[in-house]
Amino acid sequence: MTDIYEIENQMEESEPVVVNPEGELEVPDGTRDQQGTQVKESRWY
Amino acid sequence: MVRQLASDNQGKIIKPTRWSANWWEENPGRLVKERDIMADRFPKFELHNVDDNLAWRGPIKSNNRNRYTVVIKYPDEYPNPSQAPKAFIIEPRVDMEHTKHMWPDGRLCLFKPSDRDSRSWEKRSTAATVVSWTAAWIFAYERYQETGVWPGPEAD
Repeated sequence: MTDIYEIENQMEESEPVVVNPEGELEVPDGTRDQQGTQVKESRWY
Repeated sequence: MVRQLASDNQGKIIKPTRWSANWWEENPGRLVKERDIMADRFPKFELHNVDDNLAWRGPIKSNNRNRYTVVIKYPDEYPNPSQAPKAFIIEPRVDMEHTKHMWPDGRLCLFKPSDRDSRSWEKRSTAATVVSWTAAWIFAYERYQETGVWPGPEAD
């Protein structure tokens, strides 16, 4: 059973994903700051 | 399960982590529906891939202007008419000793499954449904802190 402590740890370690039009999950190119603004630099480069 | 990495300018598709299909692979249309409803109603929420499943994380501001960070985690099988996504408040930490309607694992108790007359989980319900119930829970929680009375109906 997942408890709140596990959830906290999992969320800290995970990155947001997006759903593409086909319903697949993708890691977005940029990350978002706290205001929800798309950040230009890609963390993959 | 998520897909093999594929490099392009639109982003990266995530690697598979297990052999059996997850619910969103079996029913990608449902995931698109969940995405669209959440984007429309709760655009500040972000989807995360955690523990081989999906969870939304985002902010809720209460009537008292307090900010909460909540997580809505899907069950392994979804949509499931008997199992709603689980809601947790991860910030600020809610002391279980000083609230009601919280399970021992920290999950919020949002509805009575046998209650078919008012609030109940249905196959057509979405993560946005659970977020709205969580907002109502937070309102009740803050009232309970102020008055010692949990507003609204309570299960036995």
